Amino acid sequence: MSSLHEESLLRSRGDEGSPRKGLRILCIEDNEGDFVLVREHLRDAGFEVAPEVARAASLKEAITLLRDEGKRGSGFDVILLDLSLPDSHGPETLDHVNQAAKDVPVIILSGNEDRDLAVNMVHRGAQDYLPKHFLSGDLLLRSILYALERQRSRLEMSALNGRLTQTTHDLKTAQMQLIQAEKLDSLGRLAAGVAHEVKNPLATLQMGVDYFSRHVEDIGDSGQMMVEHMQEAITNADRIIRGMVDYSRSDSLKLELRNINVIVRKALRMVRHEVIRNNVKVDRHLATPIPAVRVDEGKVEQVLINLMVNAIQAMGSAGRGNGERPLHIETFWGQLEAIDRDLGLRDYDRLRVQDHAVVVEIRDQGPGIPEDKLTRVFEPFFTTKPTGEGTGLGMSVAKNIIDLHRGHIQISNVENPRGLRVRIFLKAYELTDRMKRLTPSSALPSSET
Amino acid sequence: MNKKRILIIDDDVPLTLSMKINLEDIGDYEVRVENSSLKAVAAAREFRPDLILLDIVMPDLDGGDVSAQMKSDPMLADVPILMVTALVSNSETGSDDVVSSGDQLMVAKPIKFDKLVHAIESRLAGEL
Ligand SMILES: Nc1ncnc2c1ncn2[C@@H]1O[C@H](COP(=O)(O)OP(=O)(O)O)[C@@H](O)[C@H]1O
Ligand SMILES: [Mg+2]
Repeated sequence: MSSLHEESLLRSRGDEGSPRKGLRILCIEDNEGDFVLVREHLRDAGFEVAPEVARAASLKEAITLLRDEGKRGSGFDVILLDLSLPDSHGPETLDHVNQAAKDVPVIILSGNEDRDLAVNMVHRGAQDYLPKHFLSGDLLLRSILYALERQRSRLEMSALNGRLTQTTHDLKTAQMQLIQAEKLDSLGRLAAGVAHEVKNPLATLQMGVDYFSRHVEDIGDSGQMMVEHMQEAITNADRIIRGMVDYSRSDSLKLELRNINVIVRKALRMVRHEVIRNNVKVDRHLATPIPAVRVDEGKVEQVLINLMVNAIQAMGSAGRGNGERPLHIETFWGQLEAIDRDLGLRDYDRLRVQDHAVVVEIRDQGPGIPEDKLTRVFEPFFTTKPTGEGTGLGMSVAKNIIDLHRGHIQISNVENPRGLRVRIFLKAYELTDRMKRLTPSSALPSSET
Repeated sequence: MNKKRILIIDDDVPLTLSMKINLEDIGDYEVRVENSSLKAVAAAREFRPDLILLDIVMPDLDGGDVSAQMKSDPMLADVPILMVTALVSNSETGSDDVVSSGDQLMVAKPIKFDKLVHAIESRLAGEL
């Protein structure tokens, strides 16, 4: 083993915790003489800072000690374990210790040199198996340093693994949201289409029935009976179509009148970790009073979270020095003077010119989006982020949900400061007279994308 | 007695015709039909209706667009409009077949004639 490697291990440990601390070692050993010997070896081993060595003389004592240290959050770095203790013998001793101190590497110190036992111990999670009569400072030093290094790799692996699991989970969730939103959308459109196509003829028949009912003298008794049957048929058919419209809306949006500012604040709370982690400063301007919006609160919150996370990530990767980068969130409202038309959506509830709209604006100081990619970002799975970081679903989910609300989403690159601006337009409800007077005179353009 | 003037704007020809026949049949109304949404405003300016029955789903302009045009025309801004919609569910309508969607009142399609007349009269009286 090259001593150079050992030195680098030593140094790397020293670099980690800036006030250099010695290792904390727990020696579980019932024999006083053996313990003294181990402690001397450790002293002579050549650690940069002398380790602090504690002793437990029985398994019970060891477990109490480990639990207390665990509670205080300090903990041991390494455990040296004698397998034969007064209250425990053999392999189980290791199992008990491993259970009491999950992430602390254990090195077995043994009175005999039993190969099978050694292999068995390593399988059970011991880092090393050292016969006591071979013990030296050098051997201990090397064994401890490698145990620590392996432990570090193992923890890193498990952290990576955790992140992978999380990413997979996020991806699945986003996919579900997308499927859900698309299903709702197409079911809603189908119901609307059928309702329109079938109800116009029904309405004509209804007018005919009503006409003949007023002129019973001209149609006779049989005629009157037929008119009654026709009336029943119309009523039934109408009820069935209405049921279909009901169904298409049943598991769809739960629309309620809400204050958008409350939803914005909720979403901000949900992304606060991202905000802190990326050293972002939230710059919030929420207009009050503000008209109500008719929304499914949870869904709109999801949209805002998606957009905020994108904005934060965009600034994170832009690497603009160390200063705090502002995430600009604003709400305002006004009267629409122009709007893009989605010809597929011909509901009464959609946004129109002259409507009052409530707007949420999210602006970042990231790199923006190249003009030729501006429309592509709404495609499912379009992402420019590395695997594991981007799912490419955030924007398409956002657009789907806003479409379901008959609202409008607009993205544009802006200058001074450069960045991306995303605006969501939702129809305004419950405008008070005071709000109408307060309406900004400059109308809202929402058609330039 | 002066007959009330009703303008029906709906692209469905058989439906508008049968509505017109019914409304005129009871003697209280003078009815004009316009089947093209693009000609809706011109028809209204010419006919000077007391009330407009306006379909929502139409080709070219939909009911909402037509309504917005009327609202911004000083000559028509005050003419009461009754929206007519096919897209209603059982849970939305009361016994009078009138739906409120957001801040707008609409009558359902199909609607029984007496309910239609009731809705028209209420709207004319400023009750709806
Ligand atoms: N605020 C933003 N600034 C720059 N690019 C953005 C921004 N928001 C979205 N994008 C671009 O749009 C792509 C798609 O976004 P999205 O659908 O949320 O998926 P994801 O964020 O998982 O990549 C991103 O990969 C990125 O290229
Ligand atoms: Mg995203």
